[in-house]
Amino acid sequence: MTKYDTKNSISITREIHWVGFYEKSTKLHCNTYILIDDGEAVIFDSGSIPDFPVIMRKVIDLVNPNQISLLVCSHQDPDVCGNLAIVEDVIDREDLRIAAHINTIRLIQHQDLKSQFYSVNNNDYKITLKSGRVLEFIFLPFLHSPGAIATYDPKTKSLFTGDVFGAIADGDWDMFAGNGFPENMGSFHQAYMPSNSHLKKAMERFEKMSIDRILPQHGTVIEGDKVQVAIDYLKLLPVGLDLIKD
Amino acid sequence: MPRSYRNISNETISNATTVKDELIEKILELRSSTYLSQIKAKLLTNTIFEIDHSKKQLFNTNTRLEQEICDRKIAEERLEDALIKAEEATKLKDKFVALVSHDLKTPLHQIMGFLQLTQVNAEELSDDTNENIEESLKACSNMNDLINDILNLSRIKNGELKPTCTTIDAAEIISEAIDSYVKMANKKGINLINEVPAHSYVYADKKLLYEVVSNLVTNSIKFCNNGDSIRVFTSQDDISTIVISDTGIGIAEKIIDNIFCYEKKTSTTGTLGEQGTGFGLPLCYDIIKSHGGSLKVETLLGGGTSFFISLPQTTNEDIDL
Repeated sequence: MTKYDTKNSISITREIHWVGFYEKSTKLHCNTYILIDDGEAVIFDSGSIPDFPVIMRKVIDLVNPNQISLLVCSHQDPDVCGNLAIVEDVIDREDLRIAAHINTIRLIQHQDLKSQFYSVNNNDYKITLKSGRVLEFIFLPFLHSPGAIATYDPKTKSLFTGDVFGAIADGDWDMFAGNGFPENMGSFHQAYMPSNSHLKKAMERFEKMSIDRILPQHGTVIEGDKVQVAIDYLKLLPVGLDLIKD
Repeated sequence: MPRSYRNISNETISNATTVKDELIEKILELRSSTYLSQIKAKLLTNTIFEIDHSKKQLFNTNTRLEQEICDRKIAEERLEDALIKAEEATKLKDKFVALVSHDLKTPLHQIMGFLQLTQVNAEELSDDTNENIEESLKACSNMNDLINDILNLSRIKNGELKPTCTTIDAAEIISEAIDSYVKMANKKGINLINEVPAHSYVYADKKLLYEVVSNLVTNSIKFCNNGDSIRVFTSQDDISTIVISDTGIGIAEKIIDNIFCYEKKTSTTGTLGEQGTGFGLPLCYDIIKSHGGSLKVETLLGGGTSFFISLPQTTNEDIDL
């Protein structure tokens, strides 16, 4: 059993908090994170429609919704951003922006969203917050969607990766990688990622970065030395097409 | 361990209440229109349930914590009261002991005085009477030691035994103490030797140092046999360490750890059946400790005992020559 109180938000760092939804019976639970920067808040992968009430209540425990100025959407899956329309209603800000790759924006705009889209590929893969803090975006084509992105916060050396580094909780889930790591990432990547060549390219890119923690949308937060272990594991993992025989 | 960068407080509950009111307004706006709006209205309603549920939990937790704090405070107050009462009782007891002990000394000294006066005319008395007087004096002397120790112990417990330190010549104090006990040592056939050189300056309370040296010397006399010797000297490495070393019977290993402890009295009978109170050595230990120094012991059963009194060092500037 997890030692964390998953009914409430969980602090990952002083500024980054987990506000996701965890239900023991759900093997593939969803991690939503909030970054609070000098009174301004950013949500990463706001989650699904059924999870919305719990996620929003956890957000409200931390900030007033109108402090949220940016919603980052790593890709267009319903578990990742199905609740965007209602989230933006609650935030109720005219200047609210949704950051995503254009290949993602084309798809999520069908959710009848009112906020401005911030196309990361047209903005040098960067965004500057009010405090001057810069968030960097990393294009991860076809991992596992055509417009997938990761977001890197250089200040805390945190990498929000969406589905990449995701894991299925086969037994007891915990907030931070421990038992079952890194093998628990295997089956999820094998089922949802296109091929090792795609995955390897991304891993080689991550390897060159200074990363203290990885925050995936499924599975557990990977910190410290485990970051390199996770990269090494996925770099060699055959997935998707690699496993399909003619 | 879970990280706790965030405190759940009443402020959280109050923020949630404000947001909840705003959500209710939105629900009312959404109710009438499209299917999507109805879904949104339902989701917002569920969010309100979530907030209410969470608020209730927070409220319950806060109430429980407040109750726990209140209970703990009451328990602490009770404990404090009990402690004050216990301290008062101890003070009263110590005062009583000090008073009684002091009052016991006056008649005791009178008895000793009369006995010694009677001894002046010993030749006129029978051997039996002389022996009885000798035994009575011995018993009075033991009782006098006991009363002195109790009085000193009571002073220590009341914090009254505070040293008034000055730079003094340890040789003078030691010589004075040894002179008082030479007769006692000679009577047992023990050679008491003072090897402390003149001008051995230490920083100590004159009266208390005399008390410690006297106590340790009488202790050595108690546990030495005819032919043994007791040497008092200063350490070669450090003149502020005074050593009282004897060739007596030594101290058994099983009691060595407790000889400076009041609670575990270790008094044993001397070589000629001398009795002790068991307070002497702990008293010496406390006196030296109150000087900022230390009292240590080295012993070998059957091979003698050495006590090391280490006092704070004095500087040349302190010495008033």
